Amino acid sequence: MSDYIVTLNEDTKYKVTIINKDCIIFNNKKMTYAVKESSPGNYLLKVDNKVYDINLKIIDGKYLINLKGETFNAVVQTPLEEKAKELLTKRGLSNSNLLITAPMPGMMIKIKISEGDAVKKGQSIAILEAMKMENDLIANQSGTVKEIYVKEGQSVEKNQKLFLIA
Amino acid sequence: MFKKILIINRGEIAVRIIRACKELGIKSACIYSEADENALHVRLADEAYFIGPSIVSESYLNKNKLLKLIKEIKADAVHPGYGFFAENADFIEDIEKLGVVFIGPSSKSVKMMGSKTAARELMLKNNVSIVPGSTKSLKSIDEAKKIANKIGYPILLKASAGGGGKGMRKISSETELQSAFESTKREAKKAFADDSIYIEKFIVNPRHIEVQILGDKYGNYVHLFERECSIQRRHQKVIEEAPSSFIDDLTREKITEAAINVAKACNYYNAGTIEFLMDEQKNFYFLEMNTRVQVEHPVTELISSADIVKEQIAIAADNKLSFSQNQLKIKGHSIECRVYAEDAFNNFLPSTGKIVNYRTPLGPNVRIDSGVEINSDISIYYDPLIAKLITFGNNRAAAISAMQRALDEYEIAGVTTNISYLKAIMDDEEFQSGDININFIERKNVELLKRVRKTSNQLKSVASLFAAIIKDKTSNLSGKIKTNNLSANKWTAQLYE
Repeated sequence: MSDYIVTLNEDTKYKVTIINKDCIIFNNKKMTYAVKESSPGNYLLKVDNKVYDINLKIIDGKYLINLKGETFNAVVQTPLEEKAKELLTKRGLSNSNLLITAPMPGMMIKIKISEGDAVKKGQSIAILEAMKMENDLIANQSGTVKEIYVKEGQSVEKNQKLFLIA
Repeated sequence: MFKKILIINRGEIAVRIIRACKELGIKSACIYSEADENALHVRLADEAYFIGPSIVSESYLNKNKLLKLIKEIKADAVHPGYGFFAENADFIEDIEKLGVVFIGPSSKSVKMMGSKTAARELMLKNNVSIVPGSTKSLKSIDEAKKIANKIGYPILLKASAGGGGKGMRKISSETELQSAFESTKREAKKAFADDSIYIEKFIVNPRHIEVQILGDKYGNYVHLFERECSIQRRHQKVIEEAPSSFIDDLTREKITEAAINVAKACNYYNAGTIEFLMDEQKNFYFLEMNTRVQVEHPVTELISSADIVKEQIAIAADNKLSFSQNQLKIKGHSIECRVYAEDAFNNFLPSTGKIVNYRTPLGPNVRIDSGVEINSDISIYYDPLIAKLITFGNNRAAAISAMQRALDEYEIAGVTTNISYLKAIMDDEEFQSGDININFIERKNVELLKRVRKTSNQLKSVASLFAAIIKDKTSNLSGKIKTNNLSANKWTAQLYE
């Protein structure tokens, strides 16, 4: 028998107890399960009598799970690992720096701020063009622009560092 | 009839045209960019030509390359699909000069209609009512402010060469106009290679009703009834249906007659769509004419039994229309959902990636027009449309049930899709009762997202179970997942006795 804490999309935590290769406890309920890989990366999961199509990608130990058109990222830890992680993040929390990253790949067509500028929460600070649409990038907190990592006209990848506001 | 048609488009519409060519016994040639090497249209066409880098200006919008290709492969006709060059009068003129047939209207008609401002002027002359605003493209921000103040905010800023919701902004105040003026122009320039824009008064809670027409080169016209496309997000149609549940026979007679008059006013031939806004009293205003095949043409095909793309090709080949108005009747009801790779919980930002699992719904009364396949890429370069899911029923309720079932059956992995959002709309009581207008999504977004969140939470439980199970298997197997071990458990042994 093993306990796991699953953190989905960095915000929701679930406790899952795996009793043996057929049984599982979830939400205080005992259920039967079976899983098989139908083709590389694609799985069939049967929980009690319902079958689900699931796609799995593993990136740096993180699971990227696609189910019914929705994508979830999952981190699975033992209760001990989870506790240790929580202590560590609590320590780092005093930091009020806000790092703005690219929400999607695209081209920085306009940067409306310079280093040292004061910005207000909700202010449009740059325009990222992707898929023929211009997307306003908004400051999520007020502060001063500490660093700008990109230039106008530059292509950026998803999650690439763009600005640091503190 | 033609021997070889070059399709200068991509995605689902390229596939749709290839299918029509095959049924007519015409050779189909297509083009593709770097990002599209795995796309479905490339695999289905009789001939596929690699045209250049992923960015559209160097491939799908590379005019010189396309003109050269048309000559080299000896295509006798060109089908533009929608978007790209479909409504570019200069391009059509170049094709005409080559002595190749453009499958669509003449460059003259497109010029009259292609500029939305010129079209508005033409309608004024022909006594078709238009939405108040400017009939010329705006010269300056000051002129824009003057007109906006005269007709009153809110207003819409629209690209003269636009369509499909691109290059269009709703403006509620003068300050907003100031900041949006240049960016709307920039977007227009990027999307349509023309930066002229104009102003229209914003009509409160209208419905979007459009009429599909066909005309041949001998002056015969028919209409294929109306479509309602009121379910839009940021002016981009999401769900379309035919017929409209709102209009009665008399209104239908009036609006279809107006549509045919619009087509006649510009000596139109081939397939076209006249878009109207309809207010709550069933008054309608000419919005624009789309001088091409529409994304949502399948719903009309399902209720009228006409094949619009084949008819387009026949008209271009100088044939007469293959049916007359009195042979046409509305049969049943059809709905189309646009399945996009986008994340409803992340402000509908497009989701890019490779499609790693793909299973389409089948069964009675379901049609799918799609340009993707397993391993296709949804890239940053193009519209994130994955497929159009179309259902049919004897009445609207039956078409909705078929759609609910089909959405549930659709399996797409690798990108995030709007399928559960579409399902939330189908499940909505106001939608089901036909109580809709173009602000439906904006007004109900929070409620719809709540419904999606509920489904999502159920899925989250399943995802977390799955993650724990995989982790458990992996830790027992020194970091590697082994397929045979996974299938060795009681998958088939859970026998019901």
